[in-house]
Amino acid sequence: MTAWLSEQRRVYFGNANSVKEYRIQLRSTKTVWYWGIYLGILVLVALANYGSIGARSGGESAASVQMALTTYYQLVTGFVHAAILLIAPMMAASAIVSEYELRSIELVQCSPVSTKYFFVGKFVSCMRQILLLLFLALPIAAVGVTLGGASWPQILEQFAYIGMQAAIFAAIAMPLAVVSQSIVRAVSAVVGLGFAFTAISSILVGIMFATGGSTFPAVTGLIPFLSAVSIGQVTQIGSMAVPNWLVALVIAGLLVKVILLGAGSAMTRVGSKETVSLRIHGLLLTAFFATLIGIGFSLMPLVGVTGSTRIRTIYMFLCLPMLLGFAQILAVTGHGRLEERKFFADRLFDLRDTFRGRPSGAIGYSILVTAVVSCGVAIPMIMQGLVTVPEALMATVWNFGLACFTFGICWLTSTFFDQASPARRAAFGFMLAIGAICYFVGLTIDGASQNFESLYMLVLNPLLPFSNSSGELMVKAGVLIGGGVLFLAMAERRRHKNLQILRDNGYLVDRDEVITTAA
Amino acid sequence: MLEVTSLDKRYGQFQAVNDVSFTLEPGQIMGFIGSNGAGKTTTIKMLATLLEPTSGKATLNGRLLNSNDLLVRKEIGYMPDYFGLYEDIKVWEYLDMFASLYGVPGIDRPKVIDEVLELTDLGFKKNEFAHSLSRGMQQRLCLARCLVHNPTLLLLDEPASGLDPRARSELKDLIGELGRMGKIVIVSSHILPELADFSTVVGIIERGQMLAFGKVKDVVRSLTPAKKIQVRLLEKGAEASMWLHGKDHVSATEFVNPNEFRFDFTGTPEDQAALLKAMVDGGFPVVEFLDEEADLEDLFMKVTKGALN
Repeated sequence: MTAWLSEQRRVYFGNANSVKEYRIQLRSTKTVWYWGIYLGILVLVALANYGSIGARSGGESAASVQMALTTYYQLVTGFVHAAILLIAPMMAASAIVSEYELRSIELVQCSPVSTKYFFVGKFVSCMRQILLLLFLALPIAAVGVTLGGASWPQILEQFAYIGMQAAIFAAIAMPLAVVSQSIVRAVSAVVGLGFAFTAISSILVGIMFATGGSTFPAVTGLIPFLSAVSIGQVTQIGSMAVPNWLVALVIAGLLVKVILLGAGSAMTRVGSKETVSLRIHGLLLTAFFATLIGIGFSLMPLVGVTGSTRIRTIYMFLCLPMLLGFAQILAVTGHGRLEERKFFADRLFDLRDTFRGRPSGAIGYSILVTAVVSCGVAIPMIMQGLVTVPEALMATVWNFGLACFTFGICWLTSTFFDQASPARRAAFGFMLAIGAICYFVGLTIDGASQNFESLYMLVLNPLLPFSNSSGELMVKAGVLIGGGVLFLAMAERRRHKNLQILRDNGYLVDRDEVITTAA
Repeated sequence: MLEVTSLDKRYGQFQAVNDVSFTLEPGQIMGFIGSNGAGKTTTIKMLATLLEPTSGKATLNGRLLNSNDLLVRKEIGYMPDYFGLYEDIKVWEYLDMFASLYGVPGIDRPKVIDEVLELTDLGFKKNEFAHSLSRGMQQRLCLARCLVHNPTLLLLDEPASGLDPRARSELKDLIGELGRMGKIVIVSSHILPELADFSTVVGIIERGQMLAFGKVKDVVRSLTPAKKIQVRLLEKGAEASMWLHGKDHVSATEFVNPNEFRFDFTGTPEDQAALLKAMVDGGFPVVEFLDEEADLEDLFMKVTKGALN
């Protein structure tokens, strides 16, 4: 215990990487320029808006003036928000990529510190800069308080959300920087992901508004540019009203932890303890989020939604991230950057590899994730008496069917590529398209016509968990499982053929799946 | 003690290191010789725990060198064939960072930094930026970095590359000093004569295989059973060569100039003395009769085929 505490102190408070980055950041002339530009633009934005308020003619209503003052506050925080969400991943990615460019990474890697130590050091130094930037913007945003457009708690909570989002963005940039070893590619990917997440989340929040929702879950505080809706709100946990920002802080912390473990896993070899740790933590976090969502939806007053439709609706939400990639990316990935040359899965399934990051562990891990998600959501709802156990079980079977189907597609996709990255991208794009189609079609049908007879619905029907009877849901699950097995069988044929071609050309295909040189 | 047993590294079908074994005692300096791509850097990286061997193992004082044992890394100082210096960082800050990474307590760090800077003769550059140093000084700074945690094993990959003669000479002295301090030092280099000056043992690697390993003299003796003797005469060079032809233990005569030639000799020192006496008694005006000891370069050229992987 003492050793563990001492190690934690060393990682979080006496981190050599963090100290070094801090010294370099403060010394670099680049930093002075960046800070100057940031502050300059911020002041210009504030002055321009302030000028427009001052130029208003008299005789306007108090409400109109109040609106203008609120706009000032929103514009300033909006600019800070955008700037910080761009700067945070840039700084994080640059801190990692520069280690590769200067080739100092090996020197750190052969020192007696873990990858956790390395990434935490980089992350802390990056966040220190972000907090300084937020602190610099605070007086300008605080003008809004003087003018009456916002209150101090509002500004502070908004800045706290910006900081949390910056932390998540910075964390995401780290594994991406390790994998791409390019600042531009890592930042583009983070911004792209952030944009997609914001777009999808905006629709969800819009729907919540439209259905008369006036309270928002804490997670909305973590949605870029939408965090304002979470300000001043609370999350009811049992009999306790916990401020949303506190819940969001816990969620952001957990997310950052898992993402940094992901960065560690990307940097180390196949089967490293970082990968095992990532998978275990990922599973626990998934269970945590699934349960939170289950509890949240159990308590949410969804007007006119019956029990069975409710759980299916929730599965729609849960299936989205699954469709977008979790199990599917695992199906086509599994290699660290070190020694990665070409990618071919050596076998379909191996129980021992479930937590080790090999492709053959993907099925086992996907099953675990699906089980954890299903149980996490269903149990709170069963306990609330909103759904029956048979209903939950049937929905779970369908959930497994969907996982099997998407896994099959991705495993098949991976056999068309030589390397992990294009396979990953293709599978991701494919699942994104299917997910988006199903999601929007599902929402339209659920909300409006209930027309299950149209042609596109006949094709998409098994992918949507709506049904008129329990039997129909089971048939859909059967179709999905059948489809998944068919795809897996096709993929296996292609995989064996690929491996044979390699062997015929003199390549050695070994257990490590590392294939470098032809004979 | 460093014990390397049947170390193997394979990338698919490519065998980078093949069954390399050797043992080094404290204070021994091993000159690790091989052409480009022979497997030196791969072997060193495996010992530095940066690469996992495909098979085989290496132990340092009984402790397995592998990447999962973070503590064993405290015993290793690794200096790659590049600097890996950060921008905008001062010499002492650079050393402070690595001292901290290697767990040197904060209170001891200033003293340790001063000591390694003194050892590497960089004390006067303590507050300079690392990037402003000359190449030789940067090389010494990297060596100082390897020493901040007082490692047992030092792995120096091409430490002399790109250095001017003075810097090379200083580095050579420094490495010799490290050996005298009781450290196990492995130095890979292309500059063979310099390795010979301070290496107590030598390892020659080619195509991933260790072709020769041992004390420099032992290796020379085992690989060159016939020593070369160089003879210079005032006159009658051709006749002396004819006279030697057919004598016991003598073969492969080769002329340097009309009155100077070399020949291979496999006899004992007594045989050698008798041969010299017979030559003088035979009326040949011998001016020089020298043993030409094979050096590392001869040895390297002899045992390797110069083929790259």
